[in-house]
Amino acid sequence: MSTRTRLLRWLLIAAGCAALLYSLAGVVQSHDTRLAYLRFLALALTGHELVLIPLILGCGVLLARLTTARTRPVIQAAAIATLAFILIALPAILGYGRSSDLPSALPRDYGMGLLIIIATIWAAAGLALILRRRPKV
Amino acid sequence: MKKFTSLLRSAKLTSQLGLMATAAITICFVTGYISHAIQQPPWWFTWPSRPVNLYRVTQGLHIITGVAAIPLVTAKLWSVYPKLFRWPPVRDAAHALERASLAVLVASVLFQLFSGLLNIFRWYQPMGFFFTVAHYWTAWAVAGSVLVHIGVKLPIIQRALRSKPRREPVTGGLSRRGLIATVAATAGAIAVSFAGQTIRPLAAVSLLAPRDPRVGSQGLPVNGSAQAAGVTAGATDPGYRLELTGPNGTQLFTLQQLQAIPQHTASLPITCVEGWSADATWTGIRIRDLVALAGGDDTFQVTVTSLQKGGYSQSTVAPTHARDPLTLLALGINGETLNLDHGYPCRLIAPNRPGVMQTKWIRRINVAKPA
Repeated sequence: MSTRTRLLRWLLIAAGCAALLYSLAGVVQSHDTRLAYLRFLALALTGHELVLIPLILGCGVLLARLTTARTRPVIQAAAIATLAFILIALPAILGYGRSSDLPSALPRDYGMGLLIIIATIWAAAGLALILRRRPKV
Repeated sequence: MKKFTSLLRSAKLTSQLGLMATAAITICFVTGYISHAIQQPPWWFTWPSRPVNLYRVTQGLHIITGVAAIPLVTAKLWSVYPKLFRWPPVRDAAHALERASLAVLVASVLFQLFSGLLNIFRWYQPMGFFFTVAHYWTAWAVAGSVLVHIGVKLPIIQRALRSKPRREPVTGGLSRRGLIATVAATAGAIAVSFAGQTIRPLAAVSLLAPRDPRVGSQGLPVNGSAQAAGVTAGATDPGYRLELTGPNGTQLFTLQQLQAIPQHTASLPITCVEGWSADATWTGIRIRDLVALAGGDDTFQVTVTSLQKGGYSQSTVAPTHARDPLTLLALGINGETLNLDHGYPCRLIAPNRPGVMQTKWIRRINVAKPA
């Protein structure tokens, strides 16, 4: 490790620790409900690491079984994009943020929007597979 | 476990995904800090009134980048997932400290992404805390733990990024490059699916955007209704008077008297902290004319108070904004009288300023020297 790298390393760690301490002080001092804060922190962590990623792994295993070597990359790519869009669209589709006095908030049909996006992804995947099948000139 | 683990995982893949995620996090942190500093300025910070669209760009970028970062972060965490279950879980004190710092890193990043996503879709119930305060303090935990993480891993990152890509195992699946391209394309597509809430020409294809700049009363989305703010009775009261205080004392104006003061027009966006924005043409009295009426000059600041109670009832217009000829006490929008939801009888509209500070239903304007 060069001296420059070593210096940069310790600068990064020192700056990082300072920011972490500032954050900790802020979280402890804010009059907000700390329990709700910790609960969300824990939920975000466990939900992502123990639910979402295992779900992705499961889909990966399933895809590896169901696809041939030729179609696998394209289908994996389409599946990754699909899962990401489903996750992000979920709060919109559930629509708990809608309110009768605010018709301009969440004005779209998000379920339909997600369907259109997923259909576009798989149409593109289909097209890619068809183009791939053609022998290279 | 070995057999099950994807052969794609490598230090190079992780470093490249980490670089992408770090770029996104940096954009979010900087733009987020700007938005925070505009609303609660530290002593060294001033925010200009021009360019008119600057805040629109920074805050639009904050939201678009934050949502697009979700697949980047998930892919990054997927790439190191087996390490989560490494045995033994803790080797020594240093290792324990490193793992604890990783837990802070991962939890705080996910906290920011998910709380931000819930907030733009206005789903506050799962949070149970005041979003803006929590989002601000957690941003510092993200910044700190990312810096520590990069510092700790720097030799590995440098080596991995410089390394020649090893011959890729023939899995029949996505290659490393293929995976990175997929994740980048997904992030890009997600960005487009949200960007139309601030980039109007994209509105038609932004199918997941929480707002549509084309949808709303008088051609503009609304973020807080008069009903929810509890101001309907006060705003429509025939006895309404605007109170103007300053060096010249206190003056009271009826709506008719306000309409008799020279009116000006300004085309300005309303830009929400939630990342959406929409253009409108506003008509009203220049704030600097009111400052002059109150006995102030270019160095004075203005504090406006709403009929609304609570956290958004007041905002301060610093001298840079107060003297800008585009800053108006608006009475009209797009050729019509403001409706109740847009702030009738009058509201503030200033260039390059978050919507939360464009106070509606104004009842008092105080002109004073900045403290």
